[in-house]
Amino acid sequence: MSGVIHWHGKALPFRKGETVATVLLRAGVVDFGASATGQRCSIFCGIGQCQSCLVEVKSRGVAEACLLICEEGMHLSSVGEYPLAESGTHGS
Amino acid sequence: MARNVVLVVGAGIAGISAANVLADAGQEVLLVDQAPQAGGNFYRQSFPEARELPRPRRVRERWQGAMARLQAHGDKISLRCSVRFAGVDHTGVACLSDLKGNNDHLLRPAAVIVATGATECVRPRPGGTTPGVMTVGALQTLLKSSGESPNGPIVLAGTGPLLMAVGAQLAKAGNPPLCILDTARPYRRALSGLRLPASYLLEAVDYLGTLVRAGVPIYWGAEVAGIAPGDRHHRLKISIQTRGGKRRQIGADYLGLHDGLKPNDYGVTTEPELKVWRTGDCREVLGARAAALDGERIGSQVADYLGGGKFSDRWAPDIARHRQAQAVLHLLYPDMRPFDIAGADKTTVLCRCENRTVEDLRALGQTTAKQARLLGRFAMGPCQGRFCGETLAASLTANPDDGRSAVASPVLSSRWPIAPIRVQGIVDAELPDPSSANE
Repeated sequence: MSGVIHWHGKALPFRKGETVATVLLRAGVVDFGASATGQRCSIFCGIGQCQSCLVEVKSRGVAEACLLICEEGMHLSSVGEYPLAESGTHGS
Repeated sequence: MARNVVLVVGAGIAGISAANVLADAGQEVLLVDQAPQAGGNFYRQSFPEARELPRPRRVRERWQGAMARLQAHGDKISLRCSVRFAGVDHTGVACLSDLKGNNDHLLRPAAVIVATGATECVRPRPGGTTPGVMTVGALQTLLKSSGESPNGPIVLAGTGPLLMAVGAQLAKAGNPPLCILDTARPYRRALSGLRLPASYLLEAVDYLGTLVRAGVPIYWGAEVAGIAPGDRHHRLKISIQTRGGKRRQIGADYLGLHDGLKPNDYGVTTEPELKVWRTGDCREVLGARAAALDGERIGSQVADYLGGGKFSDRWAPDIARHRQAQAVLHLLYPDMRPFDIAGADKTTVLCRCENRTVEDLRALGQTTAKQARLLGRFAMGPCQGRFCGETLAASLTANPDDGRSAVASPVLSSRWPIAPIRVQGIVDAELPDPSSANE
C-alpha cells in the first residue's frame, strides 16, 4: 500500500496507480450515495461510459470513480457533499 | 499542435496497431486513452503494484509485441492516458479533456481515428440499478486491473460468450461465480458451433473446463427476473427464472449483467473540415484478434489518405474469417427478444442517469422520441443515452396501434461534447490558430 485516500473522512489505503473504484470496492463501499436525480451512484460499466459512479473530489468537482487515479490525501465523498464554493474546479 | 498529427483515440490493440502503421509510414501520432493505462478491454493491464492475472502466453506475447513496436516509435508516437476525447466540432477542432484536472487541449489534427472498442448492451431489469449490479465487463475490468476479484459471491447473467470467459477468469482468481444464467441454449446448435475456427473452440473448451472444475452451474435458457436489496448476509436478492418457468431466489453481493456488445461510436461523425475513421470493435465488433488487423488496415488507409504509402487491403481475408466466426457465435447466442415495455414491471428504471422508469414512460402516453426526451427527460442525462437509447427506441415503436410508431426523430442524436467535460478546462484551453490548418 502506498498511501491513503479519505472517503467521507475515513482513511482507505491504496496501491500506486489504482483507481478510486477498486479501493472503494475493496473497502466494501458499493453504494457511493445518491445522484442529483436520486439514483444510487455505483460502479456500472466500469470503463467511463455510463457516468453512474460519480463521486465528489474535494476542491476539484465530480469525477468518475472508475477512471480517477488515487492521489495521496485525496478527499472524496458522495456527489453534492462538499459546498460549491469549496469544490470549484480551480481548487481555491 | 500542427496539422500534421493524426489523433488516435483509444489505446487498445486497434488504436495501437493503427498508430504503429502510421508511424511506419513516417506519420506523427497522438494516441490518447481515458483509462489510466494502455490496453483497452481485452489487453487491460494491471495497476503498477497489483498482482498480474495469469494469461495465455500467446496473449501476453501479442501485447508485448505491439507495445515494443510502439516504444520503438517513441519519436513519432506520443501516448497520453487519462485523457478523454470530447469530440470534433464543425471547424475541425478536436477537444481532449484531461482527467487529472489539467487544462483541456484543443487541436486541429490531420485526421482522427477512433478506436474506442465496444459498449455492452444491458437491458433494463426490475431493480437493475441496485448498487452491486454492474456489467460483466465492469467485473472483468476490476479483475484485470486490480488482479483480484471483488470480495463476495457473484452471479453472472444475460447472454453471450463473455459470461463464460469472465466466469472462468473469476474462478481462476479464486472466486468462482455462484452460477451463470444465459438466455441462449447454444447446445441446440452444437453442429454449427463446430464451424468455428479451432482457436475459438479451444478457448471455449478451456473456459468450460475451468467452470466445471470449479463447480459453477450454468443455467441455459434462464434469466434474472428481478433484483432487490438483500439482507445482512448478501447485498442483493436475485430472483431467477429458469427455462421451465420456475422462480427461485439467490443471495449474492454482485450481479454481472451482459446482453451483448455494440460499437462504442457515440458521437463519432466526420466533419467537413476533418475526416474521422473508426477501427476495431468501434467499427465492427469482431473481437481482439480482428481489431489488431483492422487497426493496421485503417492505419494504412489513413497513411495513404495523407500521402504516405499505398493502401492495398491485404487484411480483408483474415478479417472476413473473424466475421464468419462472429456470425456462427450469433447463431449460438441469438439476440435476446426485444424489451417488452407492455409486460415490464412499472418500477423498472429505463434511463439510469435521469432515474426514469417504465411507469414514467407510460405516463407520457402516445409520444415521439423527441417528446420522450424533452418532456420525459429520457436519454437526457450525462451518458447521453448510450445505455438506454436502444431500449427507449424499441419501447416507442413497440405497439404500432397506439400511435407510438410515429417516431420521426431518432432517439439518439450526437451532441458535442460527446462526453462530460469541465467547463473551466475548456475555457482555459488555447484555441489553435486557424492558419495552422494550412500547414
